[in-house]
Amino acid sequence: MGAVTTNGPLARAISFVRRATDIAVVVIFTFMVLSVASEIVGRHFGFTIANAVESATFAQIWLTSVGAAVALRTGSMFALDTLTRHLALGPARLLSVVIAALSIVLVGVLLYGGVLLTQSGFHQTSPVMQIQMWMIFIALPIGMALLLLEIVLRVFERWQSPFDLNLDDE
Amino acid sequence: MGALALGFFIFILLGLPVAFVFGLAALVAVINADLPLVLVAHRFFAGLNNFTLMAIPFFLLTGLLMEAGGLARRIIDFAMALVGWITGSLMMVAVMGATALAAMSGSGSADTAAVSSALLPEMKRRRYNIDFSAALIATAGTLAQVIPPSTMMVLIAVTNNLSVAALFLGGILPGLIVVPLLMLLAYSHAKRGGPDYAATQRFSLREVGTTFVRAIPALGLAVVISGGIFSGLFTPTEASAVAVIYTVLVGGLVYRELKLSDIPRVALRAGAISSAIMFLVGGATVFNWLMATEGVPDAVAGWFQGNVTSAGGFLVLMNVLLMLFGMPMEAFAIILLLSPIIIEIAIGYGLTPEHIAVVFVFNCVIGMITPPFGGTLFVSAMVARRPISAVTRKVWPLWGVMTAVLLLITYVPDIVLFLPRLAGYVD
Repeated sequence: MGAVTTNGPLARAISFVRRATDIAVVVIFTFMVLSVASEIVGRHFGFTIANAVESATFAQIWLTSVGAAVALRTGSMFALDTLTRHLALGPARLLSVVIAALSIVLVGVLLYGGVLLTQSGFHQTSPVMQIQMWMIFIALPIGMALLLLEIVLRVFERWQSPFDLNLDDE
Repeated sequence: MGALALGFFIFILLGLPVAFVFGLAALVAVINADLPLVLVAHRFFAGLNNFTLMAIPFFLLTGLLMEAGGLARRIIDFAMALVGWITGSLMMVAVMGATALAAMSGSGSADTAAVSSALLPEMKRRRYNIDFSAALIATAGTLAQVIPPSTMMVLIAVTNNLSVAALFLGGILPGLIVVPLLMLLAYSHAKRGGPDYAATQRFSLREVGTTFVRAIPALGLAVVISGGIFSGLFTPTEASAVAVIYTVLVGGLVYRELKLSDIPRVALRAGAISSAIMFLVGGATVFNWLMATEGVPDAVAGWFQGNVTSAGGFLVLMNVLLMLFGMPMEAFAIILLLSPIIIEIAIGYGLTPEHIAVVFVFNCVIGMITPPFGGTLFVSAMVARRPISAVTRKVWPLWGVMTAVLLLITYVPDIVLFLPRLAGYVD
């Protein structure tokens, strides 16, 4: 079960994807801050760089979609452990697989729906900036594909202790 | 209705991430009702397509940057000079420091982490009761969600079409009522604790002045946020973006503690936490849409109107229900799940939605220190390196103070509504 954490090509590929995801989250977050700030500056000095309400909101959709994989990996997704903390290793492993399977169903449906939305987005433009909506909708399938990867990896990486407590924010 | 509720409780008890639970329960209901699957993605997307919600990631980022950039430490130093001469000095500093941080940060965990890291090691060295100290810091840390800016207030405002600024103003007085009560409780604990709790420094006006001057750039953040919002210069979302930039500038250029290389690390952490919350919002949008389609809010409202005749009775039931939900569930999930229904019913009883929203958030805040899943309690216990059960045993008197204030603001709405009325947000 430790295959994904060794230093083989698969581990390097996973590491690359994770690093790219981290960078994307930081870049998107920075864009959101600068976009809203530029709107305020523009309003007070009488110029407009881009419509912040629309561009930053679209970036927020990208942040949520792509960042969900980082959130799962870093333990920022809260879960109730009333049942899981009492389980012996065998049942805990089984439950971790069940949880992963159920998560995959939801994320798979979001991925599928995201693909359909992306296809429809080739014929739609945004109300203010008039950009093609597929550029926004595609965040959903990309983000969900990354999240699927993390859901599977989580089972393997936590095989020795599936429900270690992860303490994080409220 | 049955598929939604059953799915929700089974998935949450199984231990699925709460962020997935809303979406999965909604998916079960969508399949059960033979609706197209693409609906889930469509409503999920619609839930995220909201500009005001962006204040949540920005205020979270501000809280984490304040800690990394040395702003939090300057504020705690100032609090130390102000109240460090009182018996149980470090506990007084903890409450004062957390209150000041609450006026700038929207994250209870970030504030609790900042105060815990700064004070718990010294509290241990002075042989304070560390479990009580950790419980006190956790309780004071929750004020971040009561005193503006608050990410929970943003979420409940967006979910129920209320003014964010009105709710921010509504949280100020309840938050300020809690502060002296926590200090009194800490003082009485210290008085009974013997010589270990004696103050180690004298009051020095000079020290107050020096630390105040050093803290001015950090304290300026509160002026930027509150001043900007209440003067009408910025919307709450814009103020949150300005707060991020202000914190980076002060931490990097004035205090010179925030390095350029720190920013990606902090932004990634804030981004991950924000994504978890936003994923919850997306799933809850699908869930709530299905609830509305199936007439759940109307059915619940009908039950209340048939069985609970007075507004007072409704308020008792509401608080008990929220406290029960607050024990096992995350506050953001409770807001998304219950606030649309509860506020709708409250309006039927002639109650003011802004009042109910603030009481709702205050109740959720108590959940942050209520076992078994108190968010800030976890953080302070972790920093104190103490078992959560030990810290939990000491939290009950503090929980009692918070509950007393909850009852006060529930039955004296003017405490919540005075400032929003004064500013013209509420009639």
